[in-house]
Amino acid sequence: MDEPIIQLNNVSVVFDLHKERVSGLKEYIIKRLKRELKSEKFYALNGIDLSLSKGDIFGILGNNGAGKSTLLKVIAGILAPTGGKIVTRGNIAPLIELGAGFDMELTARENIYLNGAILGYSRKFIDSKFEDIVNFAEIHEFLDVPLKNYSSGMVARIGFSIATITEPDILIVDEILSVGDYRFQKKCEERIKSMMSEDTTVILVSHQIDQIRNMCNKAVLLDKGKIIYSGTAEDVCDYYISLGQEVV
Amino acid sequence: MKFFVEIFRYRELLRELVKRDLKVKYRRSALGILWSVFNPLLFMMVTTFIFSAMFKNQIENFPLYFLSGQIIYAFFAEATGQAQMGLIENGALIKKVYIPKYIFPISKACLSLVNTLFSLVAVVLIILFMRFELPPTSILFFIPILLMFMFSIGIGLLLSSLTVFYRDIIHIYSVVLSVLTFFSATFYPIEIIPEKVRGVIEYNPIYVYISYFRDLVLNGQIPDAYHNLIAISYCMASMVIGYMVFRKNENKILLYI
Repeated sequence: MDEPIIQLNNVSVVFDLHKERVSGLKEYIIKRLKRELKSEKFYALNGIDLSLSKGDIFGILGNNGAGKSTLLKVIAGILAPTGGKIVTRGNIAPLIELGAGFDMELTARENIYLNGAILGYSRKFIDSKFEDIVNFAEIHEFLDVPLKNYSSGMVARIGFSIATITEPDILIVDEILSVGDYRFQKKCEERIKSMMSEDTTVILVSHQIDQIRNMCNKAVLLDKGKIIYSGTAEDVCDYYISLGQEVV
Repeated sequence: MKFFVEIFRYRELLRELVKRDLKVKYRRSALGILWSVFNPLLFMMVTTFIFSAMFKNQIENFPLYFLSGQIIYAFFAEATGQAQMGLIENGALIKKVYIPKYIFPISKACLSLVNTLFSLVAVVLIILFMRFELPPTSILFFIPILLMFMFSIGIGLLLSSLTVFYRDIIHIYSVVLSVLTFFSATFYPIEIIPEKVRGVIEYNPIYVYISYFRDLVLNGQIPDAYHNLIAISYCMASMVIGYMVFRKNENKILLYI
């Protein structure tokens, strides 16, 4: 059997609720003197075990605040876990927020190079892929317009085209498929589907249950930082829907 | 050291970040980066007008004396002041993509290095204008600049990581910077300070690098071993402390931005 591409063992992320509200030196000292620095622990993730192998399309379901985005951030290496161990093999393309590294003052052309560098691509590589990026995002006429004059959908398009220009080993997608118009959404889905056939491991967060059902093979349901159900995408989706019906 | 290997790996990003900041800074200004030349020049003219009569007998070439001090001081002030904000400004990015976080303060220091190199054009202009004869040692002018660059990176790393947790430091540091101007002997000769307390200035790292530069470019002498030792120790100490403090807090930064 293949080595798992992503492995999480008992991963936890804990926030100290109280400490985070102290934003100044003075406040800190006063609170310390008044002994108000009692910490209140909040488990954003609690004992997550996970193992994904090459080619898995993995869906994460859960209500708002269940820890979905935190889990993605831990896997992407943005957030260091408080406890537990995480191993990832291969390069990761995080689509957590499209165009996170864009500077609105710069033009689309300049942003493509900047964002490429942020994702770790060399200038030469972006040069060679520049046409592809522009074609996919369909922004030919506006290449030298500052990004602040773009619509948010167009910004998201550029972000998606850059992030998916290589075949990453791991692609992390956080509810971004809901941006852009219908036609572009379809285009993104196609591209992700074509990546799936190329042995890329995809992690997908979405509130559209059908999307998870159609695209994923495995899934988990998160609640209050814990995995409460895991299995095939079909099963997890059915279970999630049945939970929703109970509440109603 | 792993640190330097990683920086080298991210050199493209470093270049793009510096380019971005330069572009954004000078976008829509007609003179663009030429402001880095004019700014110290204009400042020098005013200062020369006010102070050169006062220190006429103690400082020859007051414009050059002032300009060299001012540019090195401004280098430090800009590099550290910008680096301090490096993490906070790029908060949105740090939350969404994994990048070694120290890239941001370091890119700000690189940005001011570029600015400073342009400011040195002002020095060249004044040298030509005053028909000042450059001593051969002035070819080594890059050494104090480089040392100051590394010193600023250390301080920048330290400040940027602490500022994320305690925003008050922004205000404290701006006061510290303005006090430092007066302790760096940019516009007065160090001899006017009573000998008893002169050490405060002599051992001020900013002044150490300023006098290093002046020795090479204005006085035509190479600083002695002791002066070199101090200059290098400051630079090493700052890098090591800055790096260690940054590393210690690195994982918590995300939660406070």
